[in-house]
Amino acid sequence: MGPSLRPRALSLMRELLELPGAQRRQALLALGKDDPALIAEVEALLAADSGDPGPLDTPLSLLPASTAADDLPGSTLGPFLIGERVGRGGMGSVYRGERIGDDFRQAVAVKVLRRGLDSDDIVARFLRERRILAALDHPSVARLVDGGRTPDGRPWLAMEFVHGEPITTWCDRHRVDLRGRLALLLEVAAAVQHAHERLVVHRDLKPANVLVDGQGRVRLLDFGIAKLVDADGPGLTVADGIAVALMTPEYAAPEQFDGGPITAATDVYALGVLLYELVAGRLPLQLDRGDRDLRAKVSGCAPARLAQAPFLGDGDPSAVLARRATGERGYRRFVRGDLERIAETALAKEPERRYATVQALADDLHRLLAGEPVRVSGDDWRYRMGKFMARHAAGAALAAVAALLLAGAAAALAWQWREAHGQARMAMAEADRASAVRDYLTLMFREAGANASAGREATARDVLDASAARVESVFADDRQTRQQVLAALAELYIHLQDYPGAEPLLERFLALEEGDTPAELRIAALDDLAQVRFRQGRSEEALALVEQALVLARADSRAGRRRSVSRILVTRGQVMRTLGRLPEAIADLERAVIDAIATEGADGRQVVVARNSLAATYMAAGRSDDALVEFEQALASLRQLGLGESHEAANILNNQAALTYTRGRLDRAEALFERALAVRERVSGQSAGLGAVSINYGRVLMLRNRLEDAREHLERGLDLVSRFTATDSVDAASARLVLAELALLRDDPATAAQQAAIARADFQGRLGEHHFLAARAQATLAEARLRDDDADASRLLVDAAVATLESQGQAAAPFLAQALCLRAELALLEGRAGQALADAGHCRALRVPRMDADAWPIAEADLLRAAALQQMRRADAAGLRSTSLERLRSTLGPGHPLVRRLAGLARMAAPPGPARAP
Amino acid sequence: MTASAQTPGELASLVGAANGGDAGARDRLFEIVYEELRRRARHQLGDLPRSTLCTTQLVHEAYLKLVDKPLALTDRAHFFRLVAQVMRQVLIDHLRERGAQRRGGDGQRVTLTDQGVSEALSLDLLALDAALHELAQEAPELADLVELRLLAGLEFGAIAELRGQSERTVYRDWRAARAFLSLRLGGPEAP
Repeated sequence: MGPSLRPRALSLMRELLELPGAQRRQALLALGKDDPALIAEVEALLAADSGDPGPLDTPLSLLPASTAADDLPGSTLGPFLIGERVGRGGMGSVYRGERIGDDFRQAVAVKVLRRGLDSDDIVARFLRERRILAALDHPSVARLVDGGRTPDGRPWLAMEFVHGEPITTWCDRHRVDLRGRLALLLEVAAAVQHAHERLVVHRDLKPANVLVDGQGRVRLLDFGIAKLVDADGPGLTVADGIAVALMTPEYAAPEQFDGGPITAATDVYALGVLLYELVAGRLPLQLDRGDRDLRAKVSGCAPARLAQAPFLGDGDPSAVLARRATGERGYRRFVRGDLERIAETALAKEPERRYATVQALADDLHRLLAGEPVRVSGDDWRYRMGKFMARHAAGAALAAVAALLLAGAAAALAWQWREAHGQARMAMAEADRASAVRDYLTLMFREAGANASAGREATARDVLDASAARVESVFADDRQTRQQVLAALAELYIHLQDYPGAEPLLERFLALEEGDTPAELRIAALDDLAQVRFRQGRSEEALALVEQALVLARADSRAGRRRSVSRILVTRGQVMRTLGRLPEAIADLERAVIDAIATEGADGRQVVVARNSLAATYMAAGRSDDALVEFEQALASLRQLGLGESHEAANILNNQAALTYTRGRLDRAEALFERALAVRERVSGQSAGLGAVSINYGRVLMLRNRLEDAREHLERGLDLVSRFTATDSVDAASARLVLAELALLRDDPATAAQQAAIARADFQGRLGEHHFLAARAQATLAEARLRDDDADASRLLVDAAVATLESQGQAAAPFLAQALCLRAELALLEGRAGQALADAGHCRALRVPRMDADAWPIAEADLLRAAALQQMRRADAAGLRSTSLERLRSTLGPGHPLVRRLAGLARMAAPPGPARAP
Repeated sequence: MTASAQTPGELASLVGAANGGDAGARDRLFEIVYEELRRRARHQLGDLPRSTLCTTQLVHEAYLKLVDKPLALTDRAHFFRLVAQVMRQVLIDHLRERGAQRRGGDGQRVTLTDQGVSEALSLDLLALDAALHELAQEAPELADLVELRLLAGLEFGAIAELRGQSERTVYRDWRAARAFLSLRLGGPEAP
């Protein structure tokens, strides 16, 4: 028993610990001056407060009494006679073992895994990997000789027995100078590289596993063993502050702490620690075992610079330097600069910033020793990545997700490059540049796969974001390759319909332009940027870019010219259509189809793209039969190309469904949209495109009286287009417009007015004050006012909308019809039957050529006409009223709120008679 | 045993009730955790006296097994205190059983599980238990801290969060407690 203590001693102790060590004694004497016993107690406590880690510094564990495990010595495991225990660690105990044959004796170290690590899983894995480990045949690698299970079921491994000493202590004892130390480290690196080439990562490199034998040769122990024990088990799992460590934290790379993918770079890090320790005599990070958040420290703290390291801390620098046969100046001269940069690169926190291979690290060390400049960051990136990829692609490191993504990316890339921009672009690009781009993307997708398998599903978009964020630094010294990667990434963003994502990349591409980029690339980038701006509703900006691209393309004398022109004409046609300039749009697009057929035949992909745009434009011009033909042909071509389920097919299906919808065929439109939605979701996942289809589908569902389903799709659509285009984009405004209509059907004019007003403002902002879509939103706003019993406001709004729409030509016709029918309703309610009849008639006249004869909007116009006739007490009213009402009931369903409202309107418009209350 | 028949979410509500002063809930909770830890300890150790028992790992596994939804901070603190106490009991019970089997043994040693362990770093668990009892008399909050750290295996950051203190304060208190225990366990400086 120690001296008796009182609570006062402990609380005094806690106070003193707040002070710097040197002041504690003085403070103690002052505070406890009249109580010598107290002072003695506290002094004893202070003395016991050692800075060195002791048994209390790690959570308790129960170990067997020291003799307990020793019933193995003297027994046999497999062919080996087990001798004394030579070591014990967290993984188990190590015994000396010996195989005695007729003419040989083989000394082995037998590692017996401790209980708790003996699951069937580990044993099975061990058996699986044993062959791979046994294939490591390198003079510096202690070989795995055999393995099995003990009688009580624990796995054991027999390794070649190495008489040796940890590399650090061996170097110190032999006073090996710095060059000698690096030379030894190169031997280590060669052995590790040998293993990496056989897809074995050590994972637990540390001095205890890197021995120097009696002949002064390096011998590495325990290759791949850590993986056997620690396969799916995360090296360290943290749940609410509980950590379980299964590795050696001082030598563990940051990714080993958070369950990141273990790659060759993990061993590079450990070699970096070894390098640092061999050179500086201390670890790069001083870890206070168990005391702090190790993970945060390892991932967050930068090591001291190598040149300063020996002079930090409590050690004696001159002793450290003496063991390296050098002095302070000699040391600094040797490490400053290149060696520091080599260590920094090996010890980078992010695996991808380290040397990609142990070979690359070794090459730099060789250069340093030979007095040549090292490469570090200036290393040839493609060489490094190429090696890296070669090593890991085969390593089954690709999770299934990554493989799928990769296939998708490669296909998209191949198409975008070869098809969209023509063979010329591919031919122009140097083959090695193209492969750098491919390697880069492959790497990104591979990493995404690895991350995904670590728990989170990576989307293609995540991968792109990561790629885009890194491209500038990865290709810092190679502008042309950087441009190509930027262009390729931008196209992938476009492919995913993430236009804001693509925009900065293309802008960067054009900003990097120095006149030496192939014309095709520049034209394609301009065209892509035009598309990106157009898709975000910035049509005028898009038009300016498209004109630039067209000038360049027409001046280009190369073979791909006509194709480029076709592509740009498609963009211009789309922009023109959106701007309401339909005849120009149709002319551009018809020309684009012809050019495309001339260069790639009737079923080419550019032909499909052009036909689709042309069809959409025919639709806008009210030429729905022509549109239908183009859609059918485009879909047939896609099927011919084996692309029945593709990005373009999804687009065309959507457009075809939209056409069917505008013709009034709701049941068929619903089925087509459903299919378009399914294909789009499979092809693009979460994207603006999926949002747009959702909005369309929602609109049809609304008319099919599935109001709740409609709301769900509309809100999802709004969310998607807001995320992937902009919250005030044209697509988002379209979603709000339909949501406003839905609110009207649900008798919620306040919400309707709100949404319609936002939609109008956004259409105006994106497309211009007088765009027909803004007028269309205004008509809906007018309807909201009408339902809110504000007829005056409604009349003003609808009159202005009609005036605008009348000035906009063909593209605005469907919307003009809708506004006119609304105005007819308003006139009816106000008893102005003549005006109502005229507007309803005009509405009908606009709808008939665009729709099937039995389409519900025509019936709607007819019902309004009937009501007007009724108000005028015309005899022919009743017949028209019952046929149109009947048609509405059969197309929309008798319970549809729209039908009920129109029926009510017709009743109300009937002249007061004896049978009816006024 | 009925203790293992635990339904989803039951543990969380038991912790909440126990934390609120419900003695019955506390007993039931103790029972559940005790059984879980004992079961796991027995599994880890087997019948053979040659394996190590790593408390951190035990607690970690038990936590994952028992706590199927996140606990509120105060409940979590309560839970870990309880786990620490249970763990202490489990270890003592285990040693007593073992001691009864092999008379004449000079008590079990507890030690680090880390690589490169040396015998010199081991502790006498029964002595530690006695010292902890003594510390609880002198400064209960320090004994609590030791239990959370040594027996429940929590990191200082986690303890600081549970106790609503800064990590620095926790670490300072830890040093005081460690000094006390070192003295009691016959540290080099002890007379």
